[in-house]
Amino acid sequence: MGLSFLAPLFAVGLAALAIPILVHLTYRQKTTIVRFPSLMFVQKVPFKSMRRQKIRHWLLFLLRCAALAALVLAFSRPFFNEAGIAATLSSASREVVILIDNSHSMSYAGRWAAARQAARDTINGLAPSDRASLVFFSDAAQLAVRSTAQPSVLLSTLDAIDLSQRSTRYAPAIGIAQQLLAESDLPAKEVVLITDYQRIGWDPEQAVQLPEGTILTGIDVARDTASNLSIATVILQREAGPAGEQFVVNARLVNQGDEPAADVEVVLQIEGEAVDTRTVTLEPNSAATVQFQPQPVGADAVRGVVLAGTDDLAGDNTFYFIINPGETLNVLLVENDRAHDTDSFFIEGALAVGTRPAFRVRRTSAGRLQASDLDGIDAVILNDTPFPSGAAGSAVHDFVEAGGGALIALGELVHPDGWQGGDATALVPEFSVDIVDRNAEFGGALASYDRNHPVFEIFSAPRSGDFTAPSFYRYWRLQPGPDDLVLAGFDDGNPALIARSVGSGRVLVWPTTLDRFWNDFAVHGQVFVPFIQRATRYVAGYQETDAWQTVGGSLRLAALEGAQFSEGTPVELTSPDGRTTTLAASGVRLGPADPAAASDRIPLEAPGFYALAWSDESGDRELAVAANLDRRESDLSKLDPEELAAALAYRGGTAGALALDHQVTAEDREARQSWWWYLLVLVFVFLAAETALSNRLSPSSATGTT
Amino acid sequence: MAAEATRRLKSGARFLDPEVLARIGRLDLLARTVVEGFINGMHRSPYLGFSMDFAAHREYMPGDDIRRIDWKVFARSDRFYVKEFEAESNSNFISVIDISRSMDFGSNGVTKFDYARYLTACLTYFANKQRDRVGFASFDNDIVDYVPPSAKHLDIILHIIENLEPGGRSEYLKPLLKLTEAAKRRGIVVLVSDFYEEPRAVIDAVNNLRYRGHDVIVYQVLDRAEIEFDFDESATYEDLETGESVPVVPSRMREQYKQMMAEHLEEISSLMIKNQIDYGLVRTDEPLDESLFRYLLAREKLRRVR
Repeated sequence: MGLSFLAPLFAVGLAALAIPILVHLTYRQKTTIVRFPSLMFVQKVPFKSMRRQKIRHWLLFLLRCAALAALVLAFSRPFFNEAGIAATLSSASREVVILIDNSHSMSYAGRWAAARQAARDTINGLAPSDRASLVFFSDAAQLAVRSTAQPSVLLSTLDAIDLSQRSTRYAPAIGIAQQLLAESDLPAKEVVLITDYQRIGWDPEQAVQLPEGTILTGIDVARDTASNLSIATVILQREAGPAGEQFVVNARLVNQGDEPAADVEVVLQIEGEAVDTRTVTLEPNSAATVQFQPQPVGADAVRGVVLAGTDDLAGDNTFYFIINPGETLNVLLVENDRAHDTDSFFIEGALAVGTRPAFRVRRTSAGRLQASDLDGIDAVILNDTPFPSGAAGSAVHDFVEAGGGALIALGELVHPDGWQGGDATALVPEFSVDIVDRNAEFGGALASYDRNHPVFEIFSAPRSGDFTAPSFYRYWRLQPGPDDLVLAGFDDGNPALIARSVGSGRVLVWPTTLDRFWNDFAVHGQVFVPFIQRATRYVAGYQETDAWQTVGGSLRLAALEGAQFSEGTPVELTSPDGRTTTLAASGVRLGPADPAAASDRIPLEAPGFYALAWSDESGDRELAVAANLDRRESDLSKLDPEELAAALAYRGGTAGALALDHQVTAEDREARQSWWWYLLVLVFVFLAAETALSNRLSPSSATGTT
Repeated sequence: MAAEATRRLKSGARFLDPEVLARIGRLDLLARTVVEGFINGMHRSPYLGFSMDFAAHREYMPGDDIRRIDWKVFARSDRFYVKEFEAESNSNFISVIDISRSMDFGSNGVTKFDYARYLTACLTYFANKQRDRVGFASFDNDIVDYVPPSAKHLDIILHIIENLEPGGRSEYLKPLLKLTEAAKRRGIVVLVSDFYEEPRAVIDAVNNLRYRGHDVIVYQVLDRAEIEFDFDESATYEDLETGESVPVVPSRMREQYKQMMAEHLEEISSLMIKNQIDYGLVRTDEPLDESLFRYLLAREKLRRVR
């Protein structure tokens, strides 16, 4: 409405109304004192519940309060926004934006039917001069109908749209509403939000607000208290078994509800067959982990499903995953021509125990290296050797530039001259003959490393490895280039590990040995083994295939191991609902007939398994990918509708001119209306009545309490 | 699983109630009594996976954690061996106890403050027995005591816990931030408090520890009367921390109070779960073994994840 105040601060005076009430309700306390830990909740209980006295002489009490309130209002200088009144009184045409939540949580216990009915009612309630838009939203918003005056179009679209399998986000829908209302020239603006008010959908940091004067009508379709049993996640552990590698499935179950979930049957299916069943009871609002019997890792990818009970939100009672067989990286280990047999002992040992991926290591020396040695190689380790000369050196450079990887350890058998100039310059930063010698200090230590980098992220958890333990006695002083990344540093500030990109390939440079000559890093197996494996994986560009993806995202074909399609290969895509689409492939891109529309991504719209099938020279190929609902959607806890409304309310323009215009207009309006005069008259009327009444009552109620 | 295990424990070894424990004068004796009894009970229970100090070698097999390979044996023999039951040592364990005035409340003879002290002492003793480095902090609106983690600090910590006195008003953000700064090396932090604070403020404060990389286990200690609000007499209720007082007719506000308390507990619980913090509500009339078992499950889970 259009009621505003020129001096709203005077409204603070209304607080004075509380004084007689408080005095009345709190006097004459008992003397018994109970010391209680916190009155945090006691004070939140509405005051009337603690009241011991009843207000008598209500009329007198109300007259006094009314006089006080009218006085305060008069000083606040009220006025009415004429435009607002006019719009309201004349039933001005409205621009209505109907936002309907069709996220997965709306499938809970008839919410979707209630939402549709509420939308129908809203559409049927539109006046002929109104215009309305229809927006469906989950984690993304879809403008289904743009500003129309034809209810039939809105209703038919409403009937055609179904629930999505995605999670909730309010901001995109509000953004569309904001835009539609801003574009409209109709005088009244309204947003109807039909949702279950799921809390996870609202991020208070989102800076969205509705245009000034917009009426927000919220329709809550989740009035019931929701409870939900869900599989929050599945943890897959690989381990050694009596018959080779095996995996253990741990399912994390969450019961969000006030009732216990008793005797829930949790089933593990492998390739469609139930292989293990457990029964678990979950207390209200609790979580539990169920561990199944180990299952063997096969030579092919295995499809697994965990099922846990049934409830009103069935989608999150199932969890899909894929167990991929181990993969192998081919590594060429290049040593110094003068190297002993044992110089790469620890490197080979560290790579020998890799399982996912496994490492197949071939050893040669810089002098014997030939370009053909690099065929089929994923990563080269140049261990304490000068850069290979001639064609072999160029081959190494070209190998890296074309997307290969190199891990380079510079130790006592190299000299800067062997690495400066020619193809080597691109691979290694500058370093001089000035070796850093820390022997006098009994060695330096590795002082910092980037825990967010793929090489070191394995060390980010507590007790995952102590990098400060190894002692480094000698190392080269590397001078990183402007594009180099220093991933680790010694305690004297010198770089310990430098990453650089060369063409499409990656290089890591380690300025000391990977044996026990210049440091004792190699004997600290707890950090040495994972470091060598991670560094080799990183330079080889190895990406672990995820066991599952999330619905709402998309599947990047380039991230799939083995998803390389020759030009024009027909590829069959089978989605979870069993529908099969034939796509034409090009490289790692798939698309319909029009190659321009081809994409290297497949959108994941439903939970289950997506399968790609095609044929190439090695025969029929198939790749499967598991997709699960976004588990945030399982949390049905509600957002306070008023909190959302307050967050979306117009908070004023950002430009100073707007604020100034508003102030001048307000004064003009208030001056023209002068409501404060009428309010002052009312004050006198109330006081006169109060005087008359209190005089009449005073003889009989000398001790009255108001 | 936890509930089932607890039931099995109840049918087997039964541990002393907090009220009985309160009669044991010395805290070190109390901690030893409870923990040793608890471990004996564990040995009789089907949950034997928590062995603490047995170590042996076996040949490496694909899938084993490569960080468990005994690299020194490899250097000598060129063969891979795995330490099968590595002692769970070298982890930092810090117990953090809220000593604000609100903790000094008890309707059953044991105050929350006492219960928190017993629990903290037992967990510290337990962690020390698992060869973790033990540390300790107490706080109200600031850090009051801080003992950095060390394998040799058990006696100091038990002495400090024994002599703790309830302090002032509680606050979470400032002291936990300070603790985050002090405890730089990541480890396990057990936080014991009654959490009379807005849940989001609590989670924001606790998350500072998580973001530093600590694994946080939270115990919310409450008295039965705080949850049930089963007072009869109308009286003036005085806030232990602020000294504020209000007249209260318990019968008129009991249901609203209980509902608000339940909502508060639910919000804290769900926020903790959402933020992957192990959380448990303990009542001062519950035996300590339930809390210890909860800790052990959380500890075991952390061990598996690593």
